[in-house]
Amino acid sequence: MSEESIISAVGLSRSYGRVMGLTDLTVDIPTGVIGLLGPNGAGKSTLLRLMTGMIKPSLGTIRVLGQDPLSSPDLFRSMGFVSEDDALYESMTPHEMVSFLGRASGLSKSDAREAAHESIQKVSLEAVTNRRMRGFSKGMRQRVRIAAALVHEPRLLLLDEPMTGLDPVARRDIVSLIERLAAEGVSVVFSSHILHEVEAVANHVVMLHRGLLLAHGSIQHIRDCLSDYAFTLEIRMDRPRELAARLAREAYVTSLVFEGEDGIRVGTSSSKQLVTALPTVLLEIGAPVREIACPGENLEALFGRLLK
Amino acid sequence: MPILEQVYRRLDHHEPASSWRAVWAIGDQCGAMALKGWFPKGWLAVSQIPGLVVAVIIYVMTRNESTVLEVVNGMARTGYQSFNDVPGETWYRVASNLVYAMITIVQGWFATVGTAIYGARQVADDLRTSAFEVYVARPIWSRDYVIGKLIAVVKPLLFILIVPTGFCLLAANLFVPASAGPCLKLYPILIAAGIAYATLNAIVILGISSLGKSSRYATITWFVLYFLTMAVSVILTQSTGDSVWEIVSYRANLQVILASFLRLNPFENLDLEFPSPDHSLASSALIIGCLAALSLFLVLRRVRSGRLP
Repeated sequence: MSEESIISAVGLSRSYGRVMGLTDLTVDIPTGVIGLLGPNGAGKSTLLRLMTGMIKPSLGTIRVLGQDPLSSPDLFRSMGFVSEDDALYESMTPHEMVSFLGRASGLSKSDAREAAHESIQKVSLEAVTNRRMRGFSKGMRQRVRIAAALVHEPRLLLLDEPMTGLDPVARRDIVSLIERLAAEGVSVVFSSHILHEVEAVANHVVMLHRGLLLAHGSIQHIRDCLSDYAFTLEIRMDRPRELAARLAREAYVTSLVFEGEDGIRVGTSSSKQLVTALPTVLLEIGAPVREIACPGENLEALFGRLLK
Repeated sequence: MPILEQVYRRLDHHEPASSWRAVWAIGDQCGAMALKGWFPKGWLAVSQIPGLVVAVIIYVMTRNESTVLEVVNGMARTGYQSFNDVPGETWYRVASNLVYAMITIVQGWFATVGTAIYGARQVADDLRTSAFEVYVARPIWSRDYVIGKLIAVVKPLLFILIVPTGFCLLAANLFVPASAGPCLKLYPILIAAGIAYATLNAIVILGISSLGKSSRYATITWFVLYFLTMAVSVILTQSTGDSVWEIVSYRANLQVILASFLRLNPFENLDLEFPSPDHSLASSALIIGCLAALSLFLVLRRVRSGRLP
């Protein structure tokens, strides 16, 4: 484990009966904001649960902040965790709940009260701090849970799918909260299956697919891995035949299929070259462009490319 | 993992002591949540009424010395003419009978229902609503959670058991000053008996509460355990004519344990339910101990599978 890593896994595997949740993961995760990216069933939650000692590895080892989460409950004084489950005592107010969990994390009654106040301020819930949580929106509940995870001032915050089910405003709030925490020196590991969410806030990404590590590193590193690949572009424009004539000369263009009077589907063996050349070609033609789309460009396709 | 390996692993890791702050926080908060609503609070208030009623009866009786002496002489089969003739040991035995009757017969019923009200939901609701997750990934051991929950249940039960009983004992000692000195040692014994009664009930209800995800299921199971064992005990005792079958009853075994705590030597002609001499403290302690151990095992197993270390 390097000095900079907060989490280090070596040969980490976890099976659920005959299903592998995570397979032979070896990774060093540095400080900062780390996004665990992958579709459902990729092993993100399994990895987070292994980090918190909630489940035992079937094989391999994991160390979080230099400690084994299975045998070091004191580690949890330096770690906060927000699970995917919507766990709250609804009959309590946010202040009661956060203060209670502060005491449960080892703070004295008065310190917990003060820490709860600060923690609730961090998640901008002061206005409802003394209201019962029954009837809170999902976003508000999520923020209470984050406040509870922050009450003992952890060095590391783990968030399992923190933005799932939230509206765009609530998502933005969570993103800016993660950014603020990172600025205060708290390392944040969060899982998501939405690429742009991770891209917006993480400085390091761990990409998982079906329990396997596909890639990890900085956003730039991942981008470089993905910058040149074969794909198809759909363009809706006037005079598509002119574009076809220009692109037909290029070696990296593998197919040109017209779709109606105003559509063309361009296949390429090099996304990098096509994306670089296309704006210039379109400007030269001077025909209005109504739509450019990449059909089938979703997270699955991205993972498919990484697998290749 | 083999047991010896587990032991070595624990020794090797120097398992840290429980965090008492966490334990008290869980006890405080879960106790406060158990008391939310008019019914739990109302039950606590209603449970105090017998204490007041008995205290008033004691007051009325003690206005007339001969009435009290009639009771004492009836119990002890003696013929004392005044309070000054009654020896300290007799006052102690009369008072301990009062404490025993109050704590096991009168308040015992309130505690039985109270155990279901304050305890049935403790673990079951946490599991049903996923609220259990709030304890995960915190410096909390499973035993901290269980002890915290025990405190949450024991506190209201102690209030039900000790306060009215202590109030009656205090009334008796105040209105018959001669009894005060010999009965002093009954106060700590009363507290110890209350703690034992409440803790045993709390352990059993937590075990039951951890069996399912519904507090209704836990409540029904608790009453089935309590009343079914009592009914079976009565049927077997009646049909065989052998009072040793009282050992089947959870309640009877608790009474035996409490009687030994109070060091009672019941007057034979006292018209109260006393434990049969046919079953000893050792056998009752063994049965209740096994039940408590099973309950602890069940709740700890559930909490650990719920991912607390």
